[in-house]
Amino acid sequence: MHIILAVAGVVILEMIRRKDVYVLLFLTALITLLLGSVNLFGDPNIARYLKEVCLTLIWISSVVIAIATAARQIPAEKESRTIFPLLAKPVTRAQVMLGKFFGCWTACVLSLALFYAFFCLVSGTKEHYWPITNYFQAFWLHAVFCAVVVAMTLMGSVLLAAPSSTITIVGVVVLGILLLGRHLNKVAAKTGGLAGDLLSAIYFAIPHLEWYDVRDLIIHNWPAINWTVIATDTLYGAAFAGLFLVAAWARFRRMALN
Amino acid sequence: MNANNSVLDAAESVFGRPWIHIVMLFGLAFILSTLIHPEISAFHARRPDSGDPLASILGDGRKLFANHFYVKADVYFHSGYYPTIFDNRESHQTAHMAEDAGVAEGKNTGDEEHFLGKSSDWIDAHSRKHFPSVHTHLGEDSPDGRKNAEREILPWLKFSAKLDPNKIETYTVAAYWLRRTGADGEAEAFLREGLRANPDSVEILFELGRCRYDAKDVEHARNLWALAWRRWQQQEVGKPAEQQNRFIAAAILMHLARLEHAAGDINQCIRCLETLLPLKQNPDEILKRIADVKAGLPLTAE
Repeated sequence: MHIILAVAGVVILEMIRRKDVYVLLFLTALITLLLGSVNLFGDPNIARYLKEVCLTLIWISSVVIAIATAARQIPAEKESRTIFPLLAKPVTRAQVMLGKFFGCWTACVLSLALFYAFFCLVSGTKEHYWPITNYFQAFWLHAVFCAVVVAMTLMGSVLLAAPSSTITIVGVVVLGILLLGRHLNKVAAKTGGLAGDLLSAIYFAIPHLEWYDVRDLIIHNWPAINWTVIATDTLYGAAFAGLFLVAAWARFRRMALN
Repeated sequence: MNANNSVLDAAESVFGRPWIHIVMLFGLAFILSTLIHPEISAFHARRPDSGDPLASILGDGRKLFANHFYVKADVYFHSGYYPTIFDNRESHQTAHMAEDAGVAEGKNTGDEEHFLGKSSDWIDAHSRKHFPSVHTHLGEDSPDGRKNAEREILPWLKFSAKLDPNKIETYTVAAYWLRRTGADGEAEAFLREGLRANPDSVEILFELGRCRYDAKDVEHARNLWALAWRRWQQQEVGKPAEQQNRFIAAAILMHLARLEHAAGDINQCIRCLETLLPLKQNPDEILKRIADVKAGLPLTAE
């Protein structure tokens, strides 16, 4: 376990050294605060539009951080040839994969904590209302979403040729699921025939990442989600993350490194 | 010869220096800008929406965004429970915020409560626990029950008006909800902003009349509604009946009738109701009102 943690630690340190998170956090804060300063019919307590903009920026930033960080890990180790001394420690390829996963995921969760702290501050200051349980649920579901995306990206990074293609393809898949995942069954029912069956099969096979996007509930101050639902989502996300990691490890195990 | 040479040498020594080239270029640029600037200014002044950076960047495409923000306001009115392009949208053809404000004729059919239908599978059923799936309206049964929550729709209406100043409904809807939440001054100011962009708008004049009537400025309200009615006649009388906006005409005449009744001018009230008679699909109701007013009974609200 300590080997996995050591590999993860290196990933987190690299994340702290890089400027991506700071830049994204700065941009999110700047855009949110600029929009927050707009005079809307003289009412300073109108907050929902600001919550929506801020959460949208947080989601975009989290997807960028998760995919960009995970896509580089294995190819960068290969390119700089640091993978050889790492595997000679001895560290197994499964430990490398798990270490990279936990490192990327922890880095995402840490950056999410910063983003959500800022969101809480902005929202609470505007609305004078602090639904901390709801915010924690949104944060946790977002963290589980990042786990699935990181695992999917790691799998992509050992299957695809270059980090750029991994970032593009995983980005398109994640965006596609977020936008269309919930509606595929309706499209399948309307399409019918072989294409309908194919869409239906895709609907049941894909990880439903849109479940983890509970922005509308947060923006419009809906009551907190049932904890059983949160537990189900966590298990579902863990299962898919595990599946992607096993697939990534299976490919990485047979991969020629030189 | 020597003198000529020394002049040339001096000129060469001055013009050969790099800074003199920069000064000359700067001077040339300044002269050119004074020549070109009036032409450019005149050209910009001829363009509609000159000085609006959004219009310059987006062109007519900004109307698409304006419509998107208008719908977004209605999404907020429902606290996020709203049909997507994949759902049955029959119950949301007219924005509910406009229908409830009485500024648009409702064309909605179908079930607004259950447009999602029954869940088709366990994924669909579980998915519905992650987004709003209960029909509510802000100010009536909003999920957090906050006072004046209706104002949350206003930012999107303001952005919509900024992007498309000719979308009349944006002003009238925003003005209604502003008035409802006690911001009468802001409502009137926003309507006047809309009137500047759309000086012939019957709807904005009518809504301004409502603002003045609420402010107990009856005389001003009467003038505004009378003007709105004249404008309606100018714009709509020549059109075929099915193309006329009779909804707004009925609203103007009914408000005028009510105003005159409250002011004690029963004859004028009856005249307004009689003018309204041919515009209504169901004239029996108006005939009953005329009879009530003639009998000295109060004019009930529609």
